[in-house]
Amino acid sequence: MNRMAVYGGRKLQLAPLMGLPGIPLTKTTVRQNLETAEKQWQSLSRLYEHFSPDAMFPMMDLSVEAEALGIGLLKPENGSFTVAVHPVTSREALQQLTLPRPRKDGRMPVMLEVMRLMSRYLDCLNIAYVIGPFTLAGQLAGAGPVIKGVLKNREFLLRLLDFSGLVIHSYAEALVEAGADMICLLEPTASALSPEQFRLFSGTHIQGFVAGCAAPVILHICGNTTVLIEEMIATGCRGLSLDSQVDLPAVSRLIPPDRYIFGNLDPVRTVAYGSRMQVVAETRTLRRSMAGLDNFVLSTGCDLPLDTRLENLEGLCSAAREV
Amino acid sequence: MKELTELAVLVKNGDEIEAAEKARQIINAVDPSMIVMTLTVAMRELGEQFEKQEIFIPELLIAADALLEVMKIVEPHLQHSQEQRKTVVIGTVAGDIHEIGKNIVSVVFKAEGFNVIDLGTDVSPRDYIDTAVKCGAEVIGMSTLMTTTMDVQKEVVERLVAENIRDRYKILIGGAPTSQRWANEIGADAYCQDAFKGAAYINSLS
Repeated sequence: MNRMAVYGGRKLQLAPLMGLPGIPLTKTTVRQNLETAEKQWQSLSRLYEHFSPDAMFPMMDLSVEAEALGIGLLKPENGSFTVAVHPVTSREALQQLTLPRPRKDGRMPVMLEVMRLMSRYLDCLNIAYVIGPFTLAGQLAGAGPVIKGVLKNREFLLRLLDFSGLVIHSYAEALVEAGADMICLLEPTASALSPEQFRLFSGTHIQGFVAGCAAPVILHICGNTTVLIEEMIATGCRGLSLDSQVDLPAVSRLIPPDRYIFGNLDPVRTVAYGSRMQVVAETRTLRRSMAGLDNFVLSTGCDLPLDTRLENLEGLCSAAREV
Repeated sequence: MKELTELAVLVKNGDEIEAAEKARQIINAVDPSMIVMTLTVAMRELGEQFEKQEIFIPELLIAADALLEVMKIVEPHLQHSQEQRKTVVIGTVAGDIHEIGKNIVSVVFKAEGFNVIDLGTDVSPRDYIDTAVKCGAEVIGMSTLMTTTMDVQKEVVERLVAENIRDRYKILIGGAPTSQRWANEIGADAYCQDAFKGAAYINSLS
């Protein structure tokens, strides 16, 4: 039905954003998986054995970079880790920070080891996550102050963004060395911005990251990013990962054929908690609507929850592979 | 009145210091309920601009800050009829500490004259329900920004049903990954794409 997306001679047709659903397969906890490379690897490899997608991601964790900078986290046993404090609210506080050493600080070494294991043992493309510069700035200084900063505190915000850019550059470099075929940059906080604000306070910095990254970059922003699509493309990223609120067939007309379009089944309502029949039907509908585009990669609009029904993932994968 | 118009412009522009100063200047000369009414209209106008994508979250946030500063000055002068105010319990669901959207909702709802009980972030289903029962709330509003925590919204509705008190409350949900379809599926009363739609929904209740 669809023309097939490829990367480096390998097919890239099916790549759901899944990591957490592997945890029940190993009867472990989210915390164990985010803190121990071996446990995360086991959960991911079980997912891969079950579903064999064309690309695998590690567990989505937007707290790795902030923790490596010494920022405190909330670490529930069975929920995503989140940044608990946002102390970098002044130039002086920013000057106190030192760039993390990816092989030593926080859980960056855990994620590097996960990527090494994925690269060594999984016969698919392996895509590592890094956080976006604006989102990291929001974790350091608080999302509210940073979003307001685009209007009221621009000079400090730009310094913070420069620093964030350095953090993610060195981490991505280490992830690529560990075997990542692509980098998926997660920039959810930028969904709050106008196109012009995005260009000035996120896009420009992502552009610098993309230019200096040794692997192709996929840009993921949660929510309805329709208004930002052109600015997202202008970052030079190799692909866009779009959430389920975006009308994918409509925006695909704006996206050049040399950029991948990852998307965009509803991860919660459909894939996690819908019926298998519903998942199959929506997957088929999405494929039909994107037929003819060989830059389309069937995926979920965002990360799949921990308790995603595995029979639904099976339905998604089988419908994605129907001829 | 010229002063009220100027105050509204200052709030809409997010000039919080100037707006507070203007409020202090006029508070003894103007009916405070007129000030609130003016600011409610101003926030609704911002809502319309937001809907048309003429402004975005940064502009809303700085306007909300300015509104809060003005309300601190005006509120002690207001004589609310508590019986007529709808009580709304809001918060970001357990496992999620995103608060920007929820904070905008809080400010807009206050501007509309609702009695807002803001539970903050990482709110458990039990806390939503216990607070709503204790305060005699009419509305429970739940926000989440993460796909991984959306299910908490469903859990609150299920618990209300299990405890036989579902019909006491209108349940509003919001947040980037949510939708009207999600609201329908979990049995919420309304999906609110933004704070202004939430306020309009509550105002539409008899």
